[in-house]
Amino acid sequence: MNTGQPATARMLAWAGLACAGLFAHLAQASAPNAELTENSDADVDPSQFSAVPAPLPPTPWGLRWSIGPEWQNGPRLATGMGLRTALDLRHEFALGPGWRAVLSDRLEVTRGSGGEHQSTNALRELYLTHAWDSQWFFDAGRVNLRSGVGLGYNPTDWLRGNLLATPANQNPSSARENRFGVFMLRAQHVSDNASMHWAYAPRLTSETATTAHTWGLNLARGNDAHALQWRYAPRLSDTVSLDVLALATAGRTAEVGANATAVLGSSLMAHAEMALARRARWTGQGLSPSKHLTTRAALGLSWTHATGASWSLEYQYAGDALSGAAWNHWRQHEDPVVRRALGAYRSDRARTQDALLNANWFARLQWNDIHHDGRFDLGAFARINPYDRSQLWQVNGAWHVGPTLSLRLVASAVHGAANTEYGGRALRRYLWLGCETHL
Amino acid sequence: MHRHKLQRRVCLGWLGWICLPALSQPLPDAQTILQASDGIRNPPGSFSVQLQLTEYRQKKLANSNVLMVYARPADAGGEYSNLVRFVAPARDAGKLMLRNGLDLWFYDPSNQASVRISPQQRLLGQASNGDVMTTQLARDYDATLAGTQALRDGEGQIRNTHLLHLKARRADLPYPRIEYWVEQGSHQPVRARYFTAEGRLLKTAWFRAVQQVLGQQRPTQTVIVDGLDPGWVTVMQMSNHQLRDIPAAWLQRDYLPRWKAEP
Repeated sequence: MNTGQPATARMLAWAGLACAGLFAHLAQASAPNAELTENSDADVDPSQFSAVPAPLPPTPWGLRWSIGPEWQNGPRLATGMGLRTALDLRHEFALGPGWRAVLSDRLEVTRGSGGEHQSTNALRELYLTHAWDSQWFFDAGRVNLRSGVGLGYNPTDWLRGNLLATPANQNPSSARENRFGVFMLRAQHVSDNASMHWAYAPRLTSETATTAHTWGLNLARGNDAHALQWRYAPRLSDTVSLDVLALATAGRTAEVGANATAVLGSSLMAHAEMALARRARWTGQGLSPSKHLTTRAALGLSWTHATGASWSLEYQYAGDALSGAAWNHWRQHEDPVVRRALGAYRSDRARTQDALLNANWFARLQWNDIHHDGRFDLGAFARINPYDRSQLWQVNGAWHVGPTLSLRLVASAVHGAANTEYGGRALRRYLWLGCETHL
Repeated sequence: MHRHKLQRRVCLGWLGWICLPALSQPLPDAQTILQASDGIRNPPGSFSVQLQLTEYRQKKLANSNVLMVYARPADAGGEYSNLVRFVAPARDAGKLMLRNGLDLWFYDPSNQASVRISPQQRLLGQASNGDVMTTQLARDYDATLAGTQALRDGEGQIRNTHLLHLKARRADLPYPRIEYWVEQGSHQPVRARYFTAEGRLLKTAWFRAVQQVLGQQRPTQTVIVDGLDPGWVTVMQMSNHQLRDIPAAWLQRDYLPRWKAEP
């Protein structure tokens, strides 16, 4: 490996930390003075302040255009500067009383350091929705149906597998947004105290695609088997939320799951997401022939500081994935056959967005409106493999220059040796600085 | 001499007869004052109102937002269940915040994700300023009359007010203690200071620009001063008040992706 890469990674890590520190310092500078107490409003003359009327903006079209240079580095990638631009559209067309059409699409064009161009268009959603009355709703078409309260891993988000449209961003919330929907018929009933839905996804293709066509409908990425999903979300109390789900897929074992959140205090929240199914387990020798009842889960806590910074920590568990011992045994193997099998396992789990190992940690910081002036947002997350200590982190900062224009910085890096989970990734360091406009 | 004594006693008796009823007249009931003020601050039943929020930092215009608030009286307690829709700026347009007591959800239409947030996160956001307008204090707070004060109001005018001390009846209310000034006679709210349980000032609100709204003289502007950072001032302009039916189903988290802006 190039010995300069760890040094660059460290520099990037320090640069990220410096950026976070700078944000924190700027926020601290404008943070409230804790010594100001009861009489802090005594000198404020309210008559000095007036409402400044602003005309209501036209209803936005739901169009977001972003453009900016990117830099990437990795052992199997051409290092250098490129350009990435993307057009995101999500719009609802009113067709008549109770009828709407929803379109969600992303067009992305990149220009590599060598001048090569690549363009992809992902039709994420296109469906017709009908409100029968104020409680019954019906959808038909390609719908991106998301489930789960986990922050970095969603075991009950069953319709996520093989649906990633653009793998550019490692951010889990972006991954949930930038994926193909599944063609389905869905009925939902929302009453005063509960909600229930049924979604049926028909089998539209016999093939199971592993790669996305850059401009096609990509039907095979989600509709390769008949599937029926059911979800029930009762309203329990102000402090606890719960929903239970089940999925039946033709030719596969049924899955059940649950999501729960709880308010533990004014600034402390807990979440739990769990899925149960009979699955074959991965071992150091490969996939076991027998199936066992296995659990996948994400358990987390979120704490909000008085400044508005929200810190989250999540433990992720996948009972069917490799154990730490099996992983350490497998990744240090020199046999090319074993290494190829490991490579296939890795790419398969990445494609289906399943956990590589049976345990993982996810930490997140979200700090919106740092100065309370609507200008600065800061987000950061890290994934940590507890067995090989490799890490992946990403920092995302936004400066909202005006009502429709923002500057954004995305920096990410991985740490760890080439035979670790994150250190073995093709993309080791990534930087994007661009502007976004909302129309 | 006797005659003077007699005259003095007659005068004292007459004064006593005149003054006694005044001295024995009961003080105005704090809870009644609070209830009357609630009726002025909140339209009856469910309603919607547009909020234009103008933020000042160190007296300089810093930010401007427009929200629509849809409020429905909670089945229990005096708080309203709120659905807040972000109208402007454009990058926030369409986002929703749902509040049923401590049950708080934030919905972003770009990724159609409903994310649960903590009460602390709500208190920091501008949407929390809607709470100041949509709370029936008399149902959740015990009021005591702490005195009367001549107070300069949000427009610089002197008003004679009752000062009420409010103590929350439940532990889960966002403001455990409130100092509340209500104009004598009209029961118009003039000023309120909201505190934590530990006595830390969270925000001060000045109610002003009284106008005829939905059949009642009501304040249409609120100036909110942050409790810890007095340089952070928000002027909240209310307009387009409408009494409307807000079904309970609208205030379900699963309804958020279905919710469509009402005219």
